[in-house]
Amino acid sequence: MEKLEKVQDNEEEEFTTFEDIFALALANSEYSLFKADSDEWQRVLFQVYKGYWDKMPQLGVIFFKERQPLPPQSKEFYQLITTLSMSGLISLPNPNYEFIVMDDKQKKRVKQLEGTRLNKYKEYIRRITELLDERLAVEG
Amino acid sequence: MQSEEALAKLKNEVDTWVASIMPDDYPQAPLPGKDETKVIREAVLGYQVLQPHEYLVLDSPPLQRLRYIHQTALAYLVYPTANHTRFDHSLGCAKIAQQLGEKIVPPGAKTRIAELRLAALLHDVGHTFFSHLSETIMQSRFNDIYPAVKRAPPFEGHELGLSQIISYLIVKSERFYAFLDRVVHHYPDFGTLDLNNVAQLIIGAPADELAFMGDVISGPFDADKLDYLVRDCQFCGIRADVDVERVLVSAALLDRDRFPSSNPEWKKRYLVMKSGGESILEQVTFNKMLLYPAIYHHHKVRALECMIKAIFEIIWEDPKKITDDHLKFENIRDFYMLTDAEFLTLAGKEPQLKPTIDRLMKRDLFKRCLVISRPYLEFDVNFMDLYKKSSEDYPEELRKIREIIWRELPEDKRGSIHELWVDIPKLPTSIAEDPHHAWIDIGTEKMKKLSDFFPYPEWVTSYEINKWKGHVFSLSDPSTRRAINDAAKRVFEEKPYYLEFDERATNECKFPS
Repeated sequence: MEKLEKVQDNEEEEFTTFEDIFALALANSEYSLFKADSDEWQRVLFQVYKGYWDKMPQLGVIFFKERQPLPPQSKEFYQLITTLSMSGLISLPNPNYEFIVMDDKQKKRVKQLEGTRLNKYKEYIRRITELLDERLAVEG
Repeated sequence: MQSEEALAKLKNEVDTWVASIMPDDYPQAPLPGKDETKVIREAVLGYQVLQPHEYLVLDSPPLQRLRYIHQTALAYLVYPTANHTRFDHSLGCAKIAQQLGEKIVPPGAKTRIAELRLAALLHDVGHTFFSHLSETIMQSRFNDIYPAVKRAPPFEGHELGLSQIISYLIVKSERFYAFLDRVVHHYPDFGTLDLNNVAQLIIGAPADELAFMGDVISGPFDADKLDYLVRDCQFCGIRADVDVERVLVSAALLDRDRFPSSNPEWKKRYLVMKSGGESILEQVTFNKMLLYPAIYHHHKVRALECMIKAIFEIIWEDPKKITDDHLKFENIRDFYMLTDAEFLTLAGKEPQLKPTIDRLMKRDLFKRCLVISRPYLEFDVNFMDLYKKSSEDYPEELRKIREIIWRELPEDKRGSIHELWVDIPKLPTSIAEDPHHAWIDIGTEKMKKLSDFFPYPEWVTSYEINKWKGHVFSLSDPSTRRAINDAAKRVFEEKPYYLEFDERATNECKFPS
């Protein structure tokens, strides 16, 4: 598709969103299994937002609202999970939906898909992976 | 743009607009006596008594506009009886807000119920023609203002659409606030009614101890949802319903004996559901989910929305070609000058816009050329790159895809780019979000969330995977549609998407044989 590639080559930066950042951060993890605990995910999302929104403009769309005693809540968390699920890049195994899974095949696909387009954020994404590993990853 | 600067600009626009439609001394007629109440009946919730200050507010120009703004935009071209308006809905909200209020407001605090009713009557005053459709168009057109304003106090920390923010700004505008002050506080029974609280309720941000009032107007099971779920179903003729009475039976106030305000976790006093009420909230959530494929994401409704977006694309591509200044939409306030019918009438007189308006009026709508649905795709494809470009947040990205498909067409099939649309509906994330914010009092020292009873996020995700549909739309000429089908499939098959569609993606378009 020559025309399509031409259009994309002309773009200064390929179109990426916060979903790409989290997909890559999950794909870079040594773990495949992550807790599906939405409150903990919201905390992690908030921490990532606070730490990197000024460095990665893709995070700028994430918006948090307060409803104590819950941690700051973002509807972008649900968007993230649904987008990755619908794209087949994570699985939510039934029954009980306790875990989010990104297996080796899915990780490979994410890395293929993202290619080099987030390379300039490599270091930040590495730190996000560390955070995901620490807070959400599960052995097994 | 900085938040303060953006808010000042928007506030100025709203003030200017309100002043242009309401004389300084409105209402000029003497105010009615305190006992001169009126009774109004509407089709869904029946009778309600309006206090003099309430019908004075309803009669004011900003509210009367709502009679001419359809609740579900142009969905009446799909469901012929979907002719209900924002005005009807506001009345319904007021009745439900009162009923919820009577359940939870402490005895003797009747002014609070009046505040709830007034906030419900005013909560949609910031809507303009075609309701959420024009809101979406405004949000993406004025994308320097909206994101900045929603991060400014008092909106920060609340997920608000532009219409909600504008509702608040209308109430707080100098002219309208003075009018409210005059007509509400004229009556001794409402002398202590707090207009500032009314404005805060509209954006779900009252004082901590009154958080339950915010929940009645803008919460996980608020009067707005309870009314529109029932009303949209009834007027569209969809056989789904919500048992509002059952919600009222189970609604309660956060028990301060067990959840004192001294506990920082429960500083705010929320509206909660008593144990046993979770099933009715499940029904609310489920019905909300059903309405997406039935109405909001219905392919004809989406096609209609794309036609309206096409009109705006034509206007903004070359505004000099538009003769009527009302249709140039250079500022947010310009949107508030028109109602549904006025927009269609004025646009129908513009040579640039007339062909699309004529088609709309004859219901010769865009038709499907390709259906994009997860089950219709091979698994190992790059769906994410397409799916994440939801049309509301990233219209410029979808425009690029449209241009690529257009260029891929044989030359004799290349009509106007405005007649070729790729529609990727935005996820209804609030369906998954609301259950997480709805508290169930199970009688112990711990409150439960509705999402603790049912795995909603995953449930909604599964539903989305199977039900969500995007489309490529174009005009009704079958040979052009087939050519677009071929071109779109070729574009999506290659880098960066690699989407392989099965035959259902084409068959569902119902090309004439």
